[in-house]
Amino acid sequence: MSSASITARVDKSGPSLARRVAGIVIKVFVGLAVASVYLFLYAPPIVTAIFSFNSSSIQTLPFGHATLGWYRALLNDPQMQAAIYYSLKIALSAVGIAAVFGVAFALIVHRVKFPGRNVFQALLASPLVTPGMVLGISLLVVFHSVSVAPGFLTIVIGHASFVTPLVTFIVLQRLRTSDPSLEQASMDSGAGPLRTFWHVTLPGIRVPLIAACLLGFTLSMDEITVTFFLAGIQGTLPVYVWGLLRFGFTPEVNAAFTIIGGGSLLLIVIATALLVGAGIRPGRRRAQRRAELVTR
Amino acid sequence: MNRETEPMVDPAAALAASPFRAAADVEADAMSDTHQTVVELVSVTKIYSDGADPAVSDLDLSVYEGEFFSLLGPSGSGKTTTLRMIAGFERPTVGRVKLGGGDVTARPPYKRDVSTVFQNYALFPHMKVKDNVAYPLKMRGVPRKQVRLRVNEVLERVAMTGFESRLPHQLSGGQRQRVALARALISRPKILLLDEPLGALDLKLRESMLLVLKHLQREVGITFLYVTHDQSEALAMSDRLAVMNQGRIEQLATPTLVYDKPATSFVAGFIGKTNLLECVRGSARTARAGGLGIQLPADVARERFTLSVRPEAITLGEASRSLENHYAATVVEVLFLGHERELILEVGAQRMTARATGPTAGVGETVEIGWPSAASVVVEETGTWQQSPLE
Amino acid sequence: MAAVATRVVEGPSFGSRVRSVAVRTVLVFPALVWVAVLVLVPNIFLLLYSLWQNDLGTILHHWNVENYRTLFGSQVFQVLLRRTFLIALASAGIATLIAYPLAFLVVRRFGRFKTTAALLILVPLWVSYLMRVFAWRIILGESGVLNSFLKSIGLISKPSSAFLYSTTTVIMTLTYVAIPYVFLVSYTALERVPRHLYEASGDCGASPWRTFWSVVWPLTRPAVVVGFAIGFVLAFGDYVTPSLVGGLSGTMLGSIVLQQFGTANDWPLGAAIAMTILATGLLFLAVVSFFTRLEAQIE
Repeated sequence: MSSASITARVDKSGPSLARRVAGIVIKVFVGLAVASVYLFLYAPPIVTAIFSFNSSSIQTLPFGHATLGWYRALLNDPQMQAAIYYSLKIALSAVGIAAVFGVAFALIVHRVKFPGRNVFQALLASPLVTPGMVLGISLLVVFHSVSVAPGFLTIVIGHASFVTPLVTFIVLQRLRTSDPSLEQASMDSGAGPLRTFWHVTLPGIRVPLIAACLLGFTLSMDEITVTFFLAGIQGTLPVYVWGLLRFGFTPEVNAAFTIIGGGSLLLIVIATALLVGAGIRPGRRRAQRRAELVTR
Repeated sequence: MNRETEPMVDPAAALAASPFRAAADVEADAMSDTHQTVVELVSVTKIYSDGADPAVSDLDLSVYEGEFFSLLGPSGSGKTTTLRMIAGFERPTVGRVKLGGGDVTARPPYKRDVSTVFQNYALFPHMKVKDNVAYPLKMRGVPRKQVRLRVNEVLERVAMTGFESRLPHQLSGGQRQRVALARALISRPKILLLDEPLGALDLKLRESMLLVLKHLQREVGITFLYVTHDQSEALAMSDRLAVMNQGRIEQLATPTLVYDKPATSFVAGFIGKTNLLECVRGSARTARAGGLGIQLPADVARERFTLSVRPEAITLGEASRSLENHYAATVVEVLFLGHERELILEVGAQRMTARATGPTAGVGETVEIGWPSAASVVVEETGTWQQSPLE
Repeated sequence: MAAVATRVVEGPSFGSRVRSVAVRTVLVFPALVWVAVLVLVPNIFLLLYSLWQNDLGTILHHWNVENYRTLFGSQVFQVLLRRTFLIALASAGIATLIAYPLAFLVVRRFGRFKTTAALLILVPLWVSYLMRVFAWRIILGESGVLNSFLKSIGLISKPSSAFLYSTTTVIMTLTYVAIPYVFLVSYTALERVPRHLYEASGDCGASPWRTFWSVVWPLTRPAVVVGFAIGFVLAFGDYVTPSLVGGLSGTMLGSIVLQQFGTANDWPLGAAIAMTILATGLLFLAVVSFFTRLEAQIE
């Protein structure tokens, strides 16, 4: 490099005006693009919420006046109520099962070295990554062949099959980062394996477990793709709404969606706060499971 | 090793003759006559996986009631594994573990009358200090009123009164350690195992905790088994110590003996600083090392051996002229350590380290050095850790 | 201490070794049963059903591959398969093109708000799937939000019915669904790239573009590919979206399966289609992971 070109470089006093303008334009453009993506993502829930207050009974503009009528109708609709109640029962049952088995499986995977442990983990997690329809149908045909009619039991089992791995992996994550000397200290102090679990291990995983249960509850309440195939005469809330959407429509549905959406959001925020406070991220786990399974 | 039938031997001669087995010294023999054995390991070997080197190899160890016993060694020497086998967290691959005379090899940790103070304290984070400390008693079903009394008593002993309702994360490192100590002491175990408890503390705190631990042990009278890699800790606190290396005990003796009469060159090098001279025997009492003629402290039978000379045993200047081993050395380096100076000297064909408390000759200058043969120790040639005299 | 004449040294007794194996088996057994019954058996049955016959509503356990022959022989099915494949490919592709750069921006340019911004994108994942799809019907319908908006700003004179009930709608909705998943995977991978790599690259004289291309992209490419695969698998097997917003021209394989298990009542055929979907998904994942691993090896 000749000394002349070096001096020429040094003499430049910063980017030219054109350059700077271009920089700003790009920044604005990118900013708009990002904002529009967020808008795109949130448009549906926002629109749903807005329309749930729309007095007009068809899903179009112009907007009528704001009303709580649909919410009132919702609360008075016996079929809707039955569906909500049914969904709650199922969600609680599925989460209950998942909590027990999920923790048990997490402990087993963490503690016991058995051949095929990795295969087990992949198989356990597979309901999380399987397309809902395949999961639903495959379970349905099994139930059919043993003459179990679609209904409460089948739905609970179906939900448990993907909530359990969720619990397992969230709890497992915590077990893996926890201090093993705590359990040793407990045994050193005279507590056997069961008492050590109760007094030391369980309090340690309590928070992630609760968070996982909240997330699982949300998943179960919202579930449609699998539940559709496993439901009998009485449908869960999403199944009932699905029926309404396909074969008729009432605007109550928007109100129902808004309530469910709001409730789910609340639970997720709580769960996230718990997990972030405890050092894990929720959605990350689930999709990370999917991701890990693919790359393995 | 069977102490009772072992004949009384001259320590130095025994050390020169015996291989890696712990050389009994007079004091230890006396102890076995009057004290109970609290812990005994019989031919214990631990191999973690097929083909790997044993973590602990054919270990025999006895710890007596009321003594402060240390396991000293570098990382990987097997000291922590040994401790864990006594606590019950590891099972020996071969051999037996005995507590108070009874065989506990197959017993799980919660059925052993042993308490451990963990390196990272292992305080239960969701329990308050008083619940942490009370835990062992709770597990034993001690009635609540008694629990409270004993918790207060032991907290007072470790100077943690007033902290009952704090949670572990609200405590400093030193405070956590004392709570861990309290939890271990409260069940009045036969023996207290301490796994490098001072490792996480800063220097000043470590020094004060050293004293606390030593006094505590004397007051309470419980046997302590202390594991550390810090030789100054072990020397300062122990009644007896075992120097471990690569799964074996290289020497088991009192701190004085270990320091003054190291059994192997590993022990000589690990404990304090020393100069190790590779000697070739001349006559029974003389040898040559690196071009120097050396007077030995005792008669030696072997052709080749190592001689250990502590830096502080080397006299500098005119005073060295009257000593048996007296040479001219060139100063290679002078290190100012504050309370003294360390000199690295070229003596003959090798380097040696010496100490001086005042100003000395400078780099490149010649200085006279010497040591009395009684201040040197003939050491095993086959020590597993070869080190240069520069360390 | 009694003199020990012979030293009896043994390892753990045979009894205790057996016990620990037995204990382990007992502990692991429920887990294995769970996985066998809830994962292996259903998939096996799915396969079996696809190989059986339907006879006016009852299942004939008559082994044959008629279902598959019918499917793959049918022109309609072929078209549908191709269309579903392309829809899934398009959705996953567009989602990746949107989500990955977005993730990059969030990781690099959002500073303190990085985590919040990321969570905001991920939260919709957990909120009713049905609602999110159905809402597009409101937005895209003839008298819907979009049409009204476009009319009000004068872009169109009368409402267009082109937005809803078409293949495009399906693609757009599926893209919408896939974005958070691809974002999550990309974000995780991008976050793992240590900051000092950017600095070191700049220090070596690379422009931001070169840094991205030579450093960031190779490191995060495997994750992106995984995200793309996830988006594809999700879209390929979906039936909710085509049913709600696809109309006639937007049907996918999923919709047909729905029929077979509903009104058409031909379970074996439905099972066969489901198997096809499953197989395609697995094949896609296998190809993708093969390439990812291959790339990792090259690196």
